[in-house]
Amino acid sequence: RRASSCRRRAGSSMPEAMEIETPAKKAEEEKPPPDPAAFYRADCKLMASAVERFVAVREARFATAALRLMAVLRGAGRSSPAVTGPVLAAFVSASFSPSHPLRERLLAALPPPAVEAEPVAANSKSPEGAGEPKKRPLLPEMELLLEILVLQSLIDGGKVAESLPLADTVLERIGGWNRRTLDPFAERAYFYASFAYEKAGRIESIRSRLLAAQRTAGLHHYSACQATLLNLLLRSYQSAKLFVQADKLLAKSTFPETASNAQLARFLYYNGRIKALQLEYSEAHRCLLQAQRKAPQTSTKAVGFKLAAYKLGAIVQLLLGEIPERAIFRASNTRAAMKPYQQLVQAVRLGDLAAFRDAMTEHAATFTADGNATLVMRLRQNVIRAGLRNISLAYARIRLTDAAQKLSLDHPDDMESIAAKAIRDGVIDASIDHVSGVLISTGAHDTYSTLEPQAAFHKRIVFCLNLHNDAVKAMTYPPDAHKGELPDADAIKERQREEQELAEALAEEDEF
Amino acid sequence: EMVADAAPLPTCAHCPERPSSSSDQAESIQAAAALLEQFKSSFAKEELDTSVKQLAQLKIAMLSFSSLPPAIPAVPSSSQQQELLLARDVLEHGALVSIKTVDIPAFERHIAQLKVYYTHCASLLPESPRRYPLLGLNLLRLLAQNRIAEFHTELELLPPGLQASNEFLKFPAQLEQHIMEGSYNRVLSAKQTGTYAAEGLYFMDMLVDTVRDEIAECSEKAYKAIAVSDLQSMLMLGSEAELNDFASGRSWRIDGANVTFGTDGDKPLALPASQLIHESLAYAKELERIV
Repeated sequence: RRASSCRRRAGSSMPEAMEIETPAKKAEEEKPPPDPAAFYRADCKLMASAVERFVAVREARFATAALRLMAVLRGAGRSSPAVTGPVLAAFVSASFSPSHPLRERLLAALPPPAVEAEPVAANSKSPEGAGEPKKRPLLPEMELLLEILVLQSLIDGGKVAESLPLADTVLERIGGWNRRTLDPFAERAYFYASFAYEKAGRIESIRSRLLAAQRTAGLHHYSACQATLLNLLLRSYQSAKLFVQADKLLAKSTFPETASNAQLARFLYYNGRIKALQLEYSEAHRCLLQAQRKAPQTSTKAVGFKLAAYKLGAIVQLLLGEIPERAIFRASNTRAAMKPYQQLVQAVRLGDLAAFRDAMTEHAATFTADGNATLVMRLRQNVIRAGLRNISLAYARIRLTDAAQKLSLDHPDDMESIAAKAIRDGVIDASIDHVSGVLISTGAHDTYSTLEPQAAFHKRIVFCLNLHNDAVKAMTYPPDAHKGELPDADAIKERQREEQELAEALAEEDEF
Repeated sequence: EMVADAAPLPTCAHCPERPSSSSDQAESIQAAAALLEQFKSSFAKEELDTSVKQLAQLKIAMLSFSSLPPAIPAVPSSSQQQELLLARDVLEHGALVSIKTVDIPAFERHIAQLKVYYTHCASLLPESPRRYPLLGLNLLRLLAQNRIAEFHTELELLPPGLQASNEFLKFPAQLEQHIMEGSYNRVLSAKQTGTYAAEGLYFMDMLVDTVRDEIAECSEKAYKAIAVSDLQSMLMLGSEAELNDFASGRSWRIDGANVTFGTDGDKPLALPASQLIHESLAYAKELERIV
């Protein structure tokens, strides 16, 4: 971590400076006990310098460094809010000039600022000099980051109702600026503002503002903001179950290609859910599979998201007629959460309507909480079909009443029409003798003589070719690679001289 | 109130004068309420022509209301609440009338307008007794028109507890499940006994036609031959003459007591030649790209 390495460097320079001064001050050579307040302060300063570098140079790595530091600060704030709160307040009061409109509001939201005890204040040779550090003008990006930090501390501290007006103000401030460098930070601001409203349970109130912000972000070419805002809007539509509007939003807006993997994964998940509800299962399956792959692969990160994606993915696969893989159901950290879905999968695989009914009633609360209840109800048909398929494969002739009993149907007289529909849809290969009430299965014929293998091969070939094309497109040379190869003037002269000597030597030999 | 401040707008022959004071507003509300009573009575007597005319008059009267969506005030006064209630009543009855007159696009429009009242004004107005029957009728309409994706989206909007408990909503949901499974006989029997025997008759008829086609298709694939009387009962057709019409429409052969479906022996497997050619060309092009 960059912050800790800087700290070590700062710590090591201290003894050297002191040795120059007074070798007798050996007691101060001991490292002071780790002080979270000092770490926090140092991280804040690092973040400020990273933001300045970013605005000056516009290289993306400074922005990512600043955002990473902000995440570190938030983590520190969560774990020890009593210590970090005052430090943050001190930093805020130092950075914001007294005439800034938001200074009072931000300071009111935080605990009283700590008095900064400079550890090197005794050292007169310190490069900071005695007295206050240099006052730099407050960049809008830095202001936004500090506002986000205050917002986060309010949300994490549970004061959600107070965070809402602050969120409103932050959104207004973003609307006032028009700077390209604001993009990565504004994205975080929108996310946390929407998060604050969601925690307060009033996510509808912010929807119109998010829509307006999305339009502005499109005009300003804030691609990161566009991606995040689209995801936030889809999330708010999904929580209110307004899938028609979500679908229309998807149709009218494009997801920017330069978005980060995290946003892309979320977008694919929401997309998959909407498509699944509209009965387009193959498209939904493709989206959800990609969402699972784009999520961070390490098993400790983003567990909640991966669980949601796997649950929905399992149901969509079942609706398509395929059985999902076992690996996710057995992994140790997801096993308990996936248990209800595992029971569903078993029921569908075996075609056991009784087991399906039991699973439905037992875990109805879980399914509703996950928002998957209606999809699960559609699985009933798949259960019956799977059961019917098993029966047709096992029996050459079977009475319809016996078949109904095996399937444990609610109404056995429906068996005939259900079987007729299954035959029409191609699930089983059979015919019915109405008079005697018997289902006669025709033998399974050779699949290799049909076109099915060709279709399966085609799918795999297309996938491999697409993979190859994507890999070729993704190959890029590192940006400075060609510069290292250029020889400088001395090397060229050296080489030319050597070649000349060689030529002369050869010419002399020839003369002999 | 913007209406009180604005100068009186020029009126055309049809539109009523915009009320420029609250007493005028109260009058117009009362006039509309009286007209609504007349409309309800003529609707109950099944005088459809007069009902339609009165509905048009009511809608013109509604133009003078100032607190209808999208300008719903957050905390409405009692007269504004009355306006909203009246408007909702008018729309609900309008929907019912359009079913009776078999004007399905009008029904769709009424329901779309009503949805705003049910979602946004739910906290402001008392619960309407016709809400769930109308929503159920809408679901039935989507089912009958075979717009299954929209049917499911509508179903999503309802909370799951309500879906299971409310009779009016359970009916279309169960019907949809029966159709998906293939227990068509239940669908056909539901027509007679169902909750919507009165209002939903038109939709149920549409549904029965769709279902009958499905049954016919399934029977073609499933049965080699079947007795005429059995097929007639399965398709729920009234008489043998209807069955003959139906059969000739689908080119089935009726010989004596049995109906045979026109299946010709296994057709030789037709190669989808152009598709295979396209695929092979695509492979060749991609392979050439690999250096």
